[in-house]
Formats: sequence, C-alpha cells, structure tokens
Amino acid sequence: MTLKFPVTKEISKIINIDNVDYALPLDIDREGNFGKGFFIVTKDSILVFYNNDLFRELKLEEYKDFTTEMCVGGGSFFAVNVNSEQKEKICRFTMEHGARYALVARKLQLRYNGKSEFLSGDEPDKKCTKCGRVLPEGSGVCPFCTDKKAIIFRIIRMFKKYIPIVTFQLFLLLLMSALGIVLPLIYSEIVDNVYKSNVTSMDNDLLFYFLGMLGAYTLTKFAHTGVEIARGRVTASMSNSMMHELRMIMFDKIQRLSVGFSNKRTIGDLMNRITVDTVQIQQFLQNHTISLITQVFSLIMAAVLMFKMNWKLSIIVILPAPLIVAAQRLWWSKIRRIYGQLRQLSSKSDSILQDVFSGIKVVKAFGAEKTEVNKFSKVCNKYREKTLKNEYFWATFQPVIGMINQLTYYAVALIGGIAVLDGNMSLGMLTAFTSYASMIYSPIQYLADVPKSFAATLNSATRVFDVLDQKSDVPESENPKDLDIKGHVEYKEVTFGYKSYDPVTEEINIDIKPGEMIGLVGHSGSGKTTLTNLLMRFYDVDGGALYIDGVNIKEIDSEKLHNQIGVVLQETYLFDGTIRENILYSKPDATEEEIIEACKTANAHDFITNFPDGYDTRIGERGHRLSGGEKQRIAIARAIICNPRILILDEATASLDTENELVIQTALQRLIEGRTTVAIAHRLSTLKNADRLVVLDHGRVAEIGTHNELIDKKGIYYGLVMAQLNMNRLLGDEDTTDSQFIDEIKKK
Amino acid sequence: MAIEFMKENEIRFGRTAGGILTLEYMGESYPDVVLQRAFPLSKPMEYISVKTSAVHKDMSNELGIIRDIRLLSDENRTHVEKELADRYFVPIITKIETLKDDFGHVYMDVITDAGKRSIAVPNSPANFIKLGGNRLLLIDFDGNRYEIPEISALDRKSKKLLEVVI
Repeated sequence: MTLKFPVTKEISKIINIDNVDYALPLDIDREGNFGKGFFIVTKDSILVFYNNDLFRELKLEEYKDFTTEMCVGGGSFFAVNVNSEQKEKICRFTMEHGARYALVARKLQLRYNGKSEFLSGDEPDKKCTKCGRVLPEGSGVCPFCTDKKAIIFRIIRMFKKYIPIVTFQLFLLLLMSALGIVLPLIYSEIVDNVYKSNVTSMDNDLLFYFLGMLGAYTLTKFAHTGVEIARGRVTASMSNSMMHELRMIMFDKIQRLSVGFSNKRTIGDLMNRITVDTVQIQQFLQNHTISLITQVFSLIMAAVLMFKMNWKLSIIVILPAPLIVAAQRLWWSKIRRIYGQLRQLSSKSDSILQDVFSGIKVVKAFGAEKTEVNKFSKVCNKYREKTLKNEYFWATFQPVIGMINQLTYYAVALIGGIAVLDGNMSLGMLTAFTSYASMIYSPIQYLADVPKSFAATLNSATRVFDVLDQKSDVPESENPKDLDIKGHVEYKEVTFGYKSYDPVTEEINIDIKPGEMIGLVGHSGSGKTTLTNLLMRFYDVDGGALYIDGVNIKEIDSEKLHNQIGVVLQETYLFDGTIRENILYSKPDATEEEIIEACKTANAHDFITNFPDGYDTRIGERGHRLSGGEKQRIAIARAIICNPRILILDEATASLDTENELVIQTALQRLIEGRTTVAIAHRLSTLKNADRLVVLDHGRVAEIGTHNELIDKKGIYYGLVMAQLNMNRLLGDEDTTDSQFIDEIKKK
Repeated sequence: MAIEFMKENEIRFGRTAGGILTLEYMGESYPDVVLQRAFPLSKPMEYISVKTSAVHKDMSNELGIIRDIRLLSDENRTHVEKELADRYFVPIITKIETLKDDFGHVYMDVITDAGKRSIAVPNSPANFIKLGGNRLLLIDFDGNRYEIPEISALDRKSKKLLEVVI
C-alpha cells in the first residue's frame, strides 16, 4: 500500500522531502468539506497541511496512543498529548485513505514502543494512485498506467513456441482472402463474356470457354473452402492448447501461493482469472494478431480493386461506411443498456421469488401474503414496461438498419447501372464491384471493435501477470531443512495481523514440549486460530519467530513440514470422491491395512463398514450424505494416517452433539498420545486432558498453567469456566462430560 | 427492556480543545462520548444513541438515547449536529458533471454540498441503492457514501447521465 504520496511543489519547498517517512492525502478540510491537504510524518513530527499551508505541527515526542476511528464515509486520526494526557482529534479523512491512515497510526505506535515499523503483510493498493481508476481485483497494477507495449510483448513472448504455427495460419488466412478476392473476378469474366459477344447460339468455342471458366470458378471455390476448413482446425487446436497451457500455469502458481494470497481475493475472482481472463488472452491472440493482418489485407485489396474499377462508385460505397458502422455501434450501446436493465430487473424478481419461497413459513406465519404479492407485481410491471420498450426498439431498429444497408446497395445499383448503360463499365465489373462493396463492411466493423477488446485484454493480462509475478508471502528458504520433527514448538515474541495495521496477536511467548498437549483458551477473536495458522505456516509472522525443534519454521522444507502436521478443524472439508480417496489425501501411498487401522483409531471403521459400499462409498455432492460426526471421524482418520508429530485440533468437536462428541473425544484421546498437540475448544471441558492451558486475551498471552493452577489463580480462565457453568445450568445442559468436569471444580 | 431516554435538561455537551466531545449528565462527567444514529437513513435526527468508551451496566456502553435532537437546547444541539455531521460524512450530490461506465465501475465527477469530487462506484444495485421512490444512496468503491435526496430535482443533464446506471 502506498504510504508516501508525492507532495505538491509548494509543500516540498517548505519541508525537506528526504525527511518524509509517510505522506498521505488529507481530503477533508477543517470545515468538513472535500479539500486538498497532506498529512506528513517525518522523523520527529506530524505535519498537517491544508491547501499547501502548514496548519499544525505536532512533535512526536509529545504524543502517544496513535489511533484511528472509522465512521461512516470517513474517519479520524487521534493521538494523546503526553503532557496533558488529553486525547486530540488531529484530522479527518475519507474512506479512500482509511486503511492507509490506520496503517500509519499502527506504525507510529510501533515507533513509540521502540519497535521496528516494518510489517511484512502488506495489502495491495485497490485504486491506481496515479489515475484513480479501480485496479483489477486483487492486482496492484493499473492496466492503463503500465507500459502497454510491454504487456503485449510479454504475452507474445510467452507463446514464442507457437510462432511457426501462427505463421502457417497467417499464410492460410492470406491465401483465403486472396482466393476470396479472386472469386468475383472470375465471375465477372464469365458475365462479361456471355453478354459482350451478343451470342444468339452456343458454339463449341463458347461452350468450352464457358465450361473452363466455370471449372476455374468451382476449383477456386473448392480451394477457398478447403483452406477455410484447414485454417479453422489449425486455429482451434492452437488456441486451445495455448489456453490449456496458460490455465495450467495459473493454477499451478495459485496452488503454490500462500493462504494469504487466496484469502485476500474472493473465490470468484480466482476462478475468473483462470476461466475468463485466460479466454480473453487466447481470443486476443487468435483474433487480434492474425485476423488483424488479414482483415486489413482484405480491406485494402478490396478497396484497391474497387477504385481501379470505378473510383466514383467506390467513394459512394466507402464514404458512408464509417458513418453506418458508427451509428450501429451507438445503437448497440443503447441496446446493451436496455438488456442490462432487463437483467437487473429479472434478477430482482428472481431474488424476490427466492426470498418468498425459502421464507414461505415466515410469510404465512405473519400473514404477509398480500405484501409479497404487491412487491412481486411491482417488479413484474417494471419488467413488462422495459420489455415492451425493448421490443418496440427492436421492431424499429431491425428494418431501419436493413433499409440503410439496402440504400447503399441501391445507390450502387443505380449509379453502376447508369455507368453500364453508358458503356463506362461492363456488367461483369458491376457484379464484381458489388461483391467487393459487401466485403469492406466487416473489416471496418472489426477495426472499430479493436480498441475495446484491446483494453479488455490488457485488463485480463494484468490480472494474469499479477498472479504469475506474485511472490509468495511464505517464501521457501534457499536451503530448506528436511527435518524429522520431534515436536518441540516454541513461539518467541510472535506478532502477527492479517491486515498489517490491525495486529491479531502480539508478543506471544509459548514453549511447548514434545508430546505435550496445549489447550488454547480465550474469547472469540482473541487470536487462537491465528496461532495455529502460524504453526501450519499459512502465514509468516510479522515480528518475532516460531521454532520447531529449535529450527526457525521459515527454514523448514514446507512440504516436509505439512506432512508432519495433522489438522482437524471444526468445519471438515471432504472432497468429492470415495471415503478411501479422502483418507489417502494425506498419504497417497497408504495400504488398505493402514487405512483400516487409522479408521479404527478414529472410531470410524464401524460405521464405514456398515455402508453398502464400505470404504468405496462415494461422498460429497453426488454421493452419500454423511452426518457431521461421521465427517469429523473421517477427518481424524485422514489426520492420523500420516502419523503426524504435531497435531492441531481447532474446535474439532464444537459442532457435534454430546453423544457424538463422546465418541470423538475417545478417538482424539488415542490420537493425542505421544504427539505434540495444540487444541482449541470453546467448550472448556473438552480441554480437561490438556497438560497446560494458554489463555489468550486480545491477542496476548494472559495466563499459562494447568487447569488446577488457573482455577486457583481465579483469573480470566476461572471467569470463563464459571460463565460456562452458569450458562449450562441455565440451559439445563449438564451432560455427562460436563458434569464430571463440574464435580471436579466443585471439589476445589 | 425499556429504552432509557436521556433527560434533555440534564445534558451538557462540550468539546475539548483537542476536538473531543464531552458530556456532563446527571452529575457525572464523561470525557469522551460517541453519538450514533439508530436510524441513519430514515430518522437521522431522532433516536441518537450516546455511548462512552467504558462499558456500563448490562454489559452496554450506552448512556441513553436522545429521543429527538430538536428537543435539545441550542448549544447542545450545535454540538450534536457537528458531531453527527463529522461521524456521518454523506455529502449530497447536487450535480453530475460526467459519468462513464468502465469495466464494471462507474466513474463520476460530481458536485456535492462538500465540494467537487471524482468518484468510482461499482456498477451494482448494492452500490446504487434506491431508498424508496426518488432517493438514491451511492456507496463508492472505498465505502464512502453520497446521497441524492431527490433524483427528479436534479438538472436534466445529471438525470440523463444517471439513467445509464439506474
């Protein structure tokens, strides 16, 4: 994210640019209107400029607690004066720069605490800082401000190996256009020779000439069609393998990028890049490299021949052509608009229907049938009006366009006809001429479309290259260590935030011994899952370090690391496929015996063998529907089959009922044996077997100790336990596991 | 649970030199209070929730609700109006100078009651929100909000431009 915008000339006269650490546009002025100002941070002060005038200077040594508050349509920057202990509102800004102000506040706070201001996870800019356009989603590159030529050359370089086949294709296309140009000439020859000689009877010479010409015409036509078929096939096979290649490169790259990369982008966006953007590039290569040349070639050839035949007539044909194309495009934009509105209305009526049908019980229960009918009828009426408008438009548009096209034709027929009658032009020439006249429209139409699809391609290409150029947030070390993990995990001063200006965990210190089970406890949002994400190295820490067996996690071969960590999450994701395939996911070479052993450990063997298809039962959308508990047990089997040294259980039993939980608890108990385990559970009774508990509060370690120690301490953990007991009592939900747990506590 | 409406004659709003809103109420003083609208779109000047940074009884940090700011004294009302205007920065669009739809985003140059501004709004019904009949709320790409209270009251050109998107 850009934090140092170029300041105005006037400001650069007042301050020394070299001393500026951060410079942000300040777009709300003192009166609360849009303004042009600057918020500048130097080594020792904050400078607030309104319209190039220095309004305020704050010495950093006199301020602390730098914060921002986001409101509606904007936010404010605050700091606390060290002398008066008074909070001050320093300035206001719109949401355009909200994240930047928040990040600067965080960095100033780090500076105040004497820490490094460097934060590794940086969000990309969402709008071009130069031209203000919205960047293609998730990309940091503006397609309008980057070097366009460079992008095009890069695309071409990428497909260098296709150059021979492209050249062949070009040859075929030129051949096709040339044959297309020759056809009317032959036709004109025939017409002229038949009419010119005023023949009344057919003699042999004429017959042979006639047959010869007809043969030539037919052969040329055959050749033309043959070349067309060949070209179509070559094009199809080339462009498909290009697209395939591009898609594979993209998919491979996205797979290898960090979780952070995918998380900052929507699933839809990533899918679009693989499916839509690659097609756009492929079509560009297909339509705008080779076709551009051939279209221009046919246009010029046709025009030259026309002018040679009759230049006056040519002007009549060519002059209105751009006008007609322009008019058509104007109409098309109007049509697109109407279609856009229709689409919106129809999706609105769809969503009303969807809403009503899914909420039919609510509608009935509140007796709101009439309101719903009215709502629907309103949208339907609008749809009807728009459709009517659309149909009226089409009813006019089609004949008018047809008429305009015909008019040119009539004009040619009229003037050409006069020329033929005057003997200035032969009849054959006129027929050839009309053929050429019809040939020039499609290239002009095509050329008019080039800029738009060129822009769309640039957009797609920047999005594709954005992925390909992406450096992983969790880069593989140059000499990755192949570590046989024993299970000693150490968090040292770990600080991390998904958004760099908003830290989730701060200065975490935990030392986990091999084979120890640690329970992470805390309110939601206290950073429990974040700590496990860091242990799986989905992200790298912003500050501090994470060690496994004394080796920094950044230096461990990531594939080896993941092979030795087992994970069971609350929401289990099983892939479409059989149970066997899903279990093999973590260890593709496992034997059948290993699968059964793992499932027995996970308490899954019994229910799996009860299925008619046993381990070969298909699960997922088109297969057998598993219950939450069954899925969870398969996930446990999947986690243990590779015999992980470190185990992460994130709310593994939270979504289960008590009976299922008991079954899974016993399975987990077997699983935990001898493995370093980090477990997160909302229900504190599930952590009763933990060797130690780590209580997190607002991203910091608040308490560490055994269950008994923490109960005695009567701190946060004690409060959490008590709150849960009270709630269970309220709900009357004193099930067996919990009641044992309660008894233990009551004894204390 | 009953609403706790604040007693208007007990309210004393103030502002520190640093620009922070303060409140004295029923003999207590609060150094940093926040005002929030319960119905920002439908009843912007009624049902204003007054909150402090500290958590109070019932796990809530709400001191009470101002039923209607028109019932406040002039001085209090000025403070409240200023604070709300700061917190809810929603300029009113009075004129649309240019409008261009480009790759799913609508780029507009507009004149608002807070000055000129160039904005980019995603071309989606979620960003051009019709609030009944003639009122339009725009949420731009960055999350800034703009309002057109009466589309029909705009000049012809602005209306024509707006037709492209709504």
